[in-house]
Amino acid sequence: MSDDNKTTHFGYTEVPVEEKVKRVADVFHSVAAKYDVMNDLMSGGVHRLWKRVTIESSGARAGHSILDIAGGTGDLTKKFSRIVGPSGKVVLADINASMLNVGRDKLINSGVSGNVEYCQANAECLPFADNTFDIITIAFGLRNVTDKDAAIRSMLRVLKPGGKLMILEFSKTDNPLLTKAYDFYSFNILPKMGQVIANDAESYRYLAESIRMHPDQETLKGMMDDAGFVNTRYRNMTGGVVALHTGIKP
Amino acid sequence: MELINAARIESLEAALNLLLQTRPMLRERLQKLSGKTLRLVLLPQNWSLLIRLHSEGIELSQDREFEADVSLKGELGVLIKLITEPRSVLFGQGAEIGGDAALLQRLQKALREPGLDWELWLSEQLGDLPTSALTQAFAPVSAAVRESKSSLQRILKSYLQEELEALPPRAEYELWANSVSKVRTRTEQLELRISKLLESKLSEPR
Repeated sequence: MSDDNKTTHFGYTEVPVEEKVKRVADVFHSVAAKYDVMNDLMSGGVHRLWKRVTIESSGARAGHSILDIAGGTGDLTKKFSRIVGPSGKVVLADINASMLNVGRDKLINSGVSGNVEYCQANAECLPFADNTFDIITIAFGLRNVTDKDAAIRSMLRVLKPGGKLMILEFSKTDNPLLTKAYDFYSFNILPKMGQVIANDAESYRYLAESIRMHPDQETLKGMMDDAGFVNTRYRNMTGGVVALHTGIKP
Repeated sequence: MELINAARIESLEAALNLLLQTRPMLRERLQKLSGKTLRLVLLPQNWSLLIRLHSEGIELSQDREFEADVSLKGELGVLIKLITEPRSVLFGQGAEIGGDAALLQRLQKALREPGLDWELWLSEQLGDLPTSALTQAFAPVSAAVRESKSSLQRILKSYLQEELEALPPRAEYELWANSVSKVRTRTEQLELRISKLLESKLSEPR
């Protein structure tokens, strides 16, 4: 198959690779302005707790260089910025200009500046030198990346030896009852909330579908192992609704 | 348990920062210590809490590995006294102190706030966590419920006011209510004047 004919999934739909990039971009252009409000309402505020656990497990210290990929509206960057202090650096990267703009405005308005840089970047080919960062995080972003293996390899390249990759992402629940309730919520309630609040049911339907199409915990761990990470592990949160994968660059 | 603890910390952090918003002098004094960290280890639970002061407020964390500038280990009541009472003798009070004791003294001065009883305030936030085993078991749950409730209230208020613009901000409402009150007064004055004019018009000889 030639590159021109390559397809991938966009939610449950099979689309040409180039079209997925454009469609994902459209989704996030559409939801950027209401992203934080929707996150709070969709998760009942629990996404803040998932992110808090991620930050507390990161081992971030003063002077560290941290890359927050798909950093969106800057929740992780804000906290990391305070931890690394003036001697450290946090780069907020996102492929989507609308999300990056919202994130930059939000951080500046909340007094975060000085040690934060902003970069519009594709996770599959990160525009940074080898061995640059102590920690890389990607929270709720990997499932939107077209070539996840390429992204994980790219992250490995720009991490310093001994550096840590942290992937926070929706995953697979292991309790059948919870799975049923979660599916009902995702496909019936979530798009309606999207319609009412962001006037955009389709984007939120895509978000639900993309979660189901994302590799499960063991598969993602295997992808990290294959890319060359060591000490890879994951821990489930909220019964597997979300999983935090970590790996170290040897 | 991990998320319940995170909820408890999130709730306490939000309450602390809300308190700082209402006490600008306290906030200003703490801003001078921006970048400093303090670790509290509460006995007998051995519950560790990292407090990070920054330019916009306070951040709490359960990162046990972080090396704080100063650390205190002891029972909650003893630690609160140590932190908030400037004349309190640092050593020999039933608490272990590690790191920069001078920073602790600066913190003591910064946290001294007239009209604020830290022990009472904290007990309101934490429940009877340090003293009762039963409450200890339920405190995280109540913290999570409090967090959800206050978080939802905050979100709903912000959504109604800022997103839908269905509710006006308090300042805008007060301005509006003030204007209505002024219009009412002016109307009453005009009514009075009109009735007086009518009276005088009627009493004029034809």
